[in-house]
Amino acid sequence: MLNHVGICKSEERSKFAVLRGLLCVAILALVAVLTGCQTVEFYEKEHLSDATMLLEEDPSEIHFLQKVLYSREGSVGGVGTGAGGGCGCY
Amino acid sequence: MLLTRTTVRMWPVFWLLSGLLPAPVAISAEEDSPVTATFTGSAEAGTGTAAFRLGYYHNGDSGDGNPFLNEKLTVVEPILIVDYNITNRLGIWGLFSYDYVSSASIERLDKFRYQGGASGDMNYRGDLGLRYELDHDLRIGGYVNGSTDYDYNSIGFGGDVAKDLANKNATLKLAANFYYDWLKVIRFDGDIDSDNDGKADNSEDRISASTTLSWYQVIDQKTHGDLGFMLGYQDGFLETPYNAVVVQDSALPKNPNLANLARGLEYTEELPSTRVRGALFGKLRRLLRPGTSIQLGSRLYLDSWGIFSGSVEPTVFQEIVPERLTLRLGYRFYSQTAADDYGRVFTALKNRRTQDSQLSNFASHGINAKLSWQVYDRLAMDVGGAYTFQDDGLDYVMGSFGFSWDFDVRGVGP
Repeated sequence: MLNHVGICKSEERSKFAVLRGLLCVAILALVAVLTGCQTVEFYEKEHLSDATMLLEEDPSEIHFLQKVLYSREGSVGGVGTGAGGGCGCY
Repeated sequence: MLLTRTTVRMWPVFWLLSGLLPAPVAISAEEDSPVTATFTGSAEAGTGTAAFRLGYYHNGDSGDGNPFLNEKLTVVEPILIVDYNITNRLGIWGLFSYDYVSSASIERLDKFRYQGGASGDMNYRGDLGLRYELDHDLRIGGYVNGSTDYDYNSIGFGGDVAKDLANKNATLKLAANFYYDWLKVIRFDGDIDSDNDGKADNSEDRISASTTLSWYQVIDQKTHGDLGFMLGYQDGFLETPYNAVVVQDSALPKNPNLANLARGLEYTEELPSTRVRGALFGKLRRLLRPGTSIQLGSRLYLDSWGIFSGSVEPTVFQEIVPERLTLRLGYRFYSQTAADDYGRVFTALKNRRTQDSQLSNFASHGINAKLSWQVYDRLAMDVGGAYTFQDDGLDYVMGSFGFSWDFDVRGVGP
């Protein structure tokens, strides 16, 4: 059966199934990674402080990127914080 | 009336905020803005950072996407952020941004007395925040903000608490934020009096709240990453006021207001008044050798409007000149399903309807690059750009130039 978008309903359902599967894989992978963590002492963190290893990003860049992505895509999360609101968003 | 409606709508927000808080830390420590936890400069009293960025965004319209609307858009946004350490433990920061938006939808509406300014053709925003280190492994922060343009206003607040664990090999962070937005509704045809009472009084409001729980983890001596979960709730007017939905009818004459001169009539966009949104996201970064690292980021998202999305983002970081010049190269794949109420074409009027391309099903491939230059100890500059190919034809380009300056006012003054 076709909906008004012209996409087969069963096709949509299978898309959801794939994404749900991805979610499960992501969670399992994460659990595996976290349970395999080593305790790293502060004097062993030289590599983690390499200039290319800083996880924190420039706040002004995040501010701009968040606005662009959140106004172009139907989803939010993972770029800064927030779930909508606070902007007319073009 | 407005307050009563808002109060009634608040209960899911309290539930959302309180349900995720691990009891003792709670309430005083909610929130987060994109800025609060991101400055990495010295925490010595009297020092700080001033950062400026000029962002540019543009998308054309190839005729795909919404066929009835020219979706061309250009945005220029200067952003200024100042962060200052009042004491070794207490810091204050402020953000000011201004959006200049030029879009086909604004040009189109120029012929009406009122235009859809909710498209934010000139939007001002300001944030003011504080952060405090309670202990060597416990930090809190909070902020308030406001933004305005001539028909759209917003106030917000939030906070966050971060606790280092396992000898600083892990950090647990809880953030929450809240926005109250109110707007003058100007429709696609310039209508500002939908109840025809002779007053320009179309107004609506909405609340948005979200909470994010994130976990940073050192995996081994060369690998670390983080994982987060965001839960958001919105209630109120969630449509884009100036969006129209075209119901086609071959018996009608060509409609000159439509980009493709289709035969049809425009109706207001109608969407549910609540939206629950959830996202699981994370990234993992590994040092390959000194000066070279790789990162894999990903996000899965689901909301009550029927949108399910996923993204994968591999990135390479390469130091070109040690401690001076660094290059970042990245790729981003993104795909989403359409919202339940989305339709590219309507031949009958439905109670809920949208033709907003943002809510359609599409996939995109984006490439990005950024060059960062540490000019000298206190001054850094960067330039970056990205191009995204979107399979609905709404490709977009963005670029930005930024610099930051670490200042020190110790010893200055009487």
